[in-house]
Amino acid sequence: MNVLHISGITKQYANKTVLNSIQCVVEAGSCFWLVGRNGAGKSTLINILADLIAPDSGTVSFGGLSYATDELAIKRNLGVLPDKNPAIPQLTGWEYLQFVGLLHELPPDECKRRAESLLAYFFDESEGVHKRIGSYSHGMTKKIGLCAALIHRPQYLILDEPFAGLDPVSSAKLVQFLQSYLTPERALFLSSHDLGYAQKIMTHIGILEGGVLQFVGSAEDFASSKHTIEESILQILQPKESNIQELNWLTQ
Amino acid sequence: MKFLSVLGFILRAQSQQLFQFKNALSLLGRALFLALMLLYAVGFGYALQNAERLGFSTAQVLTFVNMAVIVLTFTKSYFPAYQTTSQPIASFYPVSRIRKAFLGLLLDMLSVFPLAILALYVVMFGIAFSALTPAQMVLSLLTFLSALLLDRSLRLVIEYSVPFRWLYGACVLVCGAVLVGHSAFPNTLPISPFVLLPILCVCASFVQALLAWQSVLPSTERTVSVSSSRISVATGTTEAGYVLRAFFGSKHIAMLFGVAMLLKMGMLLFLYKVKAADIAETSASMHLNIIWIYAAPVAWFTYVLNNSFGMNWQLWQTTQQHSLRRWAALTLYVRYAVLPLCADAVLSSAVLWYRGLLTVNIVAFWLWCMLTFLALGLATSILSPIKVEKLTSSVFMSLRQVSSTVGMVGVLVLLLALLLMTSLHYLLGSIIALVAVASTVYLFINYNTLKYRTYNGIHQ
Repeated sequence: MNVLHISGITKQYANKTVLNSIQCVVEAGSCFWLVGRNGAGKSTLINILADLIAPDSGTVSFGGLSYATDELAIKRNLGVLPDKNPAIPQLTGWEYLQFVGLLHELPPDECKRRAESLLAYFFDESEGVHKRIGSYSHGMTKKIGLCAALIHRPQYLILDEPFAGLDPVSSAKLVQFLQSYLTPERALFLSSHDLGYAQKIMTHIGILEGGVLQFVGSAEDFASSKHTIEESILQILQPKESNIQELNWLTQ
Repeated sequence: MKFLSVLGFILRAQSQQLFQFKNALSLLGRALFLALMLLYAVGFGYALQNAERLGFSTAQVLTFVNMAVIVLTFTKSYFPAYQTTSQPIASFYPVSRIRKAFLGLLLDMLSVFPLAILALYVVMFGIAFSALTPAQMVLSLLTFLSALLLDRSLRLVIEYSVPFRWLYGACVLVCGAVLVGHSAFPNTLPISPFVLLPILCVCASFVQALLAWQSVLPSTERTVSVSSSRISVATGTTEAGYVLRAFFGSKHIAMLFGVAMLLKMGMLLFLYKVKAADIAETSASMHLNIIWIYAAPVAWFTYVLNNSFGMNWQLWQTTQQHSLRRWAALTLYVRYAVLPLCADAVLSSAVLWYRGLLTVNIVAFWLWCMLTFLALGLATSILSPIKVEKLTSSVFMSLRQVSSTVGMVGVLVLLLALLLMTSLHYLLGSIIALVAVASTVYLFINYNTLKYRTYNGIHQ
C-alpha cells in the first residue's frame, strides 16, 4: 500500500528550477532514502513534504489525504526533523519536548513519560539535557529535534540529514531505533549523505540530480552483483573528471 | 488544542528563565539589568512626582520617558547580544495557522525586555501616581504596545519575503515615524492623542496580524534564519568595496548605524535651527549644560560604531587572512573607523562654531570621548576572536549575553566620568583616554600571550 504519494512537484528559485516534476511513491513499512549532490534540491523536497515551503505545482498526499483538505489530520501523524531545526533556544530540552507535546495535544503525564524515555535513549547523562537548547552542541540540538519529531508516535517520519553532527554512538543508536520503528503501517523518508548508516535502514532509494529523480526503486533493484551501492550512485551522478595532479602544490 | 495550557506553559517557561543563572557572570548581568531598570524606574518616578521643582511639567517628563522607551524598543533588536530573529512555530505541527501566528507573537512578546519595561512603567506610575492622570498612564502603555508591535513587524518584514514586502515596510515606517514624531513633539499634529494613539495601536496591531499570518504560510520563505548580524558578502570586489558591502550587507548593523546617524543628525539639526539665546534659555530651564545634548550622540555614535566594527572583526581578519598579520588588520580597522569619526568631527564642529558653542571644553570632551571609546572598541574587537574560535565555554557564552548590558553601563559610567573631569579642567579627561589607549595597546601587543593564558585557564 502506498502511504506517501508525491506527484509532479516543481519548484523554482529565481528562474532556476530546483525540482522538476518529481514523481514517486513510498510504500507502507518502507524507508525511502533520498540521495544526491549538495544543492540538488533534497532539502527543498523535504521542506515541501513537511509543508514548510509551498511547491509551485504538484501535490503531496499522505495515506490519501492532502494538505489542501486535511492539513491538521496529516500533521498529527507526521514527525519531521528539518535541516533547520526549529527548536526554541530559550527553552531547555525537557521544556521544549513538553511544549511540542502540548502542540500535539498529548496528556501531560503521557508527554512526560515519553520525554523521559526518549531523552534516556538518545542522550547520555553527562550531556545535561536540562540546559537551554541555545547552549547545546550541534549534535545535541539534532538529537533534541529528533526527540521532538518522535514524541507523538508519528506514522510518517521525515528526516533531513539525521546523522549529520551525531557521534558514532548516537548514530548507531539512531540506526537501531529506525530499524525497529519501521512497522508495516509506518513509512520513513530520509535524506542523508551518510551512505554507511543509510544503507542499514533503507528499503528504497531515489537519486536526485538536476532537479529530476534519476532513479527510483527498491534497494534490491538498485544493487547489482558488480557494483557496490556507492559505485552505483556515482555511476548515476557521473561526477566530472578531477585531476588530483592539480593539487600537487598541496599534496607534495 | 488546549490553547490556554500552551499559553500557561510559555508564561511559566519565561518566568523560570528569569531566575536561571548559569554562572556568576550570568547572575551579575541579570542583577545589573534589574538594578538599572529599578534605578531608572525610581528616578523617573521621582522626576514625575517633582517635575515642577525641576522646572518641567509632568507631561514633559513623561514624553521624555516614552521617547526613551520607544527608541530602546526599536534599537534593542539590533544589538549583537540580543535575540534578533523572530520565533516562528514550525508549520509541520498540527496547529491552525491563526494559532501558530498568535503563538509566534507571544513567544516573541513574552521575553525579558517587554516584561522589564512593563515593570518600569508599573514602578514609575506607582511612585508618581498622584501626579499623573489615568489617561496619561493608559496612553503611555498604548505607546509602548504600539512600539513593540511595530518593532516585531519591522523584524518580520526583514526576515520573511512576504508578498508586498515594501508596502508593509512603508506602513511600518510611517506608523513608526508618526509614533516617534507625536511622542517627541506632542502638539505638532492637530489630532488629540486620545484619538491618534488608539488609531496607531490598531494600525500597528493590524499590520502585525497580517505579517504574523503571512509569516506562517508555507508560501512565505524565510530569508533570515540565524542572527542577521552575520556577514554575507560577495567576494571578488576591491578591498574598500568588500569592507563596505560586508559592513552594510548586514541588515541589523546597517539599521543600528542608521539609527545612530539619524540621532546625531537630529541633534545637529536642533543646534543649527535653535537660536543661541534659546539654547542658553533651554540650558537654564533644563538645569543642564547644553554639552549634554552634544555629548550623548558622540558617545552613542562611537559606541555603535565600535559595536558594529567589533562584530566585524572576522571581516578585518578575513581581508588579511593570508598574512594573518594583526598589524594589517589593525590599520584596516582604524582606517575605516577613523574616517567616519573625522567626518563626524568636521560636521559637528561646523555646527557648534556656527552657534558659537565651540569652546575648548567641548572640543576636548569630544576628543577624549573619541579616543576612549575608539580604544575600548578596538579592545573589544581584539577580544572577539576568543569568542568566535569555536570556544563554547559557558563563561564566554555568558559574557557575550551580558556584554550589551555591561557595555551600556560602561559607556554611561565613562561618559559621566569624562564629563565631570572635563568640566573641572579640559585636560583632566585625558587621564581616562590615556588609560584606555594604554590598556588597548598593552592588550594588542600581548594578545597571543593573553589568549593562551585565557584558554589555558579555561581548560584547566
